[in-house]
Amino acid sequence: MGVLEIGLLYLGAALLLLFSGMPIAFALGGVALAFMFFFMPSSNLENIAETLYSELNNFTLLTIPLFILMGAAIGKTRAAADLYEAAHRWLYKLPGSLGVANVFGCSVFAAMCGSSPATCAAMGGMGIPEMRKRGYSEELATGLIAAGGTLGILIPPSLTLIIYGIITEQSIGKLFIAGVIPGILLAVIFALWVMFAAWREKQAARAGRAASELLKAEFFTWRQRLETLPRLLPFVVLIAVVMVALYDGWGTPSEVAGVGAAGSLLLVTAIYGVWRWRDLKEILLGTARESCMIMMIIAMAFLFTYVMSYLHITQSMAQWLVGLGLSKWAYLFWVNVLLLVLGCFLPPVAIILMVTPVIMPGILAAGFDPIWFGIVLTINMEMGLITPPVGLNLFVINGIAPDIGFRQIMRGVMPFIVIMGLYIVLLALFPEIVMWLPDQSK
Amino acid sequence: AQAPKVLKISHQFPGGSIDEGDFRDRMVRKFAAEVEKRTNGQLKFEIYPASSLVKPVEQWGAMANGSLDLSLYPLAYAGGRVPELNIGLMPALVTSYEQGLRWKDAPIGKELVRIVEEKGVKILTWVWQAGGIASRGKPIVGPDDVKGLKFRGGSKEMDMMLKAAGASPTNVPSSEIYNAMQSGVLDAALTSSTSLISFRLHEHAKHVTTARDKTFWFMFEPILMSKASFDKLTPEQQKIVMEVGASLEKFGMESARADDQKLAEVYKQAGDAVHDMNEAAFAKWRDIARASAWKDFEEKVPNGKKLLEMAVSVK
Amino acid sequence: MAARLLWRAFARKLAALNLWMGYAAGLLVAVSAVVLTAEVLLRYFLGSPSDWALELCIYMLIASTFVSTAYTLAAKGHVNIDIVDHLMSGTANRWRMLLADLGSAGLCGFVAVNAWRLTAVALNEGWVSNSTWGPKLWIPFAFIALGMTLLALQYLVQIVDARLAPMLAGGRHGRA
Ligand code: NA
Ligand code: NA
Repeated sequence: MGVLEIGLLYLGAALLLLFSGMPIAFALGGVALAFMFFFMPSSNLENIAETLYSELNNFTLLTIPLFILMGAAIGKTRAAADLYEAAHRWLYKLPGSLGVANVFGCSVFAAMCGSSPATCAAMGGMGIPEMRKRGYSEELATGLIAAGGTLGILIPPSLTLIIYGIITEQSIGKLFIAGVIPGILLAVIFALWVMFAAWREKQAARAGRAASELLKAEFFTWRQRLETLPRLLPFVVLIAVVMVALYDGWGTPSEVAGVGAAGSLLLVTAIYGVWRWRDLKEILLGTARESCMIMMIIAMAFLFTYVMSYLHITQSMAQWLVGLGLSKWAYLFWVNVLLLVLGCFLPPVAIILMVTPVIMPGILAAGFDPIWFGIVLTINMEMGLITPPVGLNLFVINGIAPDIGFRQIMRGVMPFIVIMGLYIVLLALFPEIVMWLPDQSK
Repeated sequence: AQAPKVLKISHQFPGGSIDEGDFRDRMVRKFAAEVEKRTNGQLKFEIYPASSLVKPVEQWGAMANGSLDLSLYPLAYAGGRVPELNIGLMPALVTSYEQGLRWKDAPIGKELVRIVEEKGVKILTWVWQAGGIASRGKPIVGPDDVKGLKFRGGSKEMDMMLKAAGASPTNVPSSEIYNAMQSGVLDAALTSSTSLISFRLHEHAKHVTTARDKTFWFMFEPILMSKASFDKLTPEQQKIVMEVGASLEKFGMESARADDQKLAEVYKQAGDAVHDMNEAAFAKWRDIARASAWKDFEEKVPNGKKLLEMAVSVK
Repeated sequence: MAARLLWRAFARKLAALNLWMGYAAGLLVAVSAVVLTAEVLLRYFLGSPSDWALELCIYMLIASTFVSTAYTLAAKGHVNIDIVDHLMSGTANRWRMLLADLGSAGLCGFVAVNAWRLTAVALNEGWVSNSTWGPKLWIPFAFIALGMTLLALQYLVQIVDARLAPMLAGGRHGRA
């Protein structure tokens, strides 16, 4: 059998196992093991535990469970509610203020937590019922939380960027810095869209005869606004410390993640009074579950790519891609289409681990900056989180608001998917949006 | 005719082409091309640069059990499993490229070959590479210059000597050295001339100490072959593989030396001060190395003392 | 009957053990956070980094990942793609899940055996990490082996209790 046949067989077997219902980690490991058995010398099977160990024996991977711990600890507090309340009181004068407040609440929470579903869950629990109460359509309310939640992997810290950095040997610190401006800008664009959509709904409500909650006026005094700040201060300080530590390089990203995690544990126990075993054990178990899930995918995906590399599938595919002679932008376009399609079915971690080894040579050969591409890839992964049928954030929303139909949620996220697609085009036209901040530190 | 046999070569260095790029990658490509030519295509090679198949350290185990055929491998990486091999990156032990190359026919070389073959690996090409120091604050020539500095030694033995000289050895993954130098997590980093260039540390360093004169950093990074794979070759192929391996030693030495020179040029171009290590500074380093890394090696490795004596006796 | 009681006791004990492993895994991450913070502070204020902290944290992370994987399975924490659930009939889904579990269990069992063997080799040959600290390598290997063993056992329980039992019960129901 030639490389092409083996490659197709491998891909087919992987899809079969992935859709069989096996956990993604074990599906990837299982197909790797089977191909080692049939197509590779038996010494590879004998080495399997050592191969797994060699992948996990990596300083940079430490960053992942630490940021997960940080997110889990903060998620256990009232931080999300406080954030939400503060954003609402400060922004109430804007059209669609409540929606805008939710988008910004998501952004700030995203800055504390490396995961999108976690951001979505924390902010949605508060925001969706509130927006529905005030007359927002179910589509808009769920769509903006699902989309706002995806900012969790763009605004640093970001688990996706960590894994991308490990695979492509780019500096995690630099990737994080590069995510700041695109993350904030995307949040602003989301907010603008929400303002427009809310205004449109308000117009529709005015035209209708029924009294809508949307039309009720609200007012907050300065005192009411100011009193929200002290409760947010500890977290703002923590985020600031982590970002400054990253930007100023007090330590490697893993060390900074350690400081962030220890700091957030201290915060939630000392200030938010989360010190009972009942609360702490939730934090510990939640951290164990999520980091184990991600680390297992990383370990097993490594076996998967090892087999692809050993059987020369990766190299042949990369050569084939480069040999197509696509122009720089056509290559980027098709890469993004591929990522988008995969994003419909697979979580970001699995996609990055499986695909980057194949597409990266072409990206570099075309002259794209790997840091810039990391950000574009992440935005593409954000889209995957809200595309059906497999979109983690959609399921989170479905869990928070079980009475809202899946169809409505999907209609709600559509405009945001389009926005993100256009946003990638914008970043391609103006790469400085990504590169300006990291270039400052040169 | 028989179908060609495909052998896999892995290494951890940046990939390029046969004429351009990191000389360690070029050397592997030259080896592959020459063997393929001389065996009339009976032996073909797949080259995996930049650890794209096996992680740097684990290449040893993969060759030992036969799942990897060849590697250009810093032998001291296997020191955790075969402690004798730490001698391949012992500070201030090898004093020049020529002396390093003479190990091959000296008793120390024969002993190394024996140890390595016992573990299932063969040495094809003897390659040594020198290294230097990039630093932020002040020039580093003698041991007195490193007191209190956060220093990436990059290996166990180097860390031991640096610690004995009063530095604080710091562990930083290689992808973060650049940032660590920029931000001051690291004051100085020690590695091969080639890597000092490819890590682009000149952008943040103010000083570099090259290996043009003396250096305490010589690393043995031979082309190795799995004995299991070697034994599967025909006697004729085995002969070709050994001959081509040996024929590349001159290229290795000249390229390594050229990079020592290039290191100075690149850093100078970036506006950094370039320093060289003189005989007197080297002697001081050697005293410290003897009392720290060498001593540890003598104590911990069963025949360590004998191995060091054999190495020192190479003229 | 006795076999059934014994099996119940085994499944219960395994669940309890895995829960404790979950706590231990979370705790290991928390301890790493504290160790790294101490490392940063010591380096910043005293200029004296340690030569063991990062490596210790890596081993704690590896241990954390593997010892909690059985707990994560029990808590349905390993993500999978489940859109096929809606496309197949109930019976077909049950068979598919049974096969999927058997596949996963086979993989984990194989890795477990392989990891125990690696642990034994590392122990016999005295492998150490090639750093100044130089910890023994059989320790992280043993955590991989332990974790994968627990995971394989957890799969066994899941196969028997969640897959086979309902199918057998369903079969009896069908005949009645
Ligand atoms: Na984040
Ligand atoms: Na999706």
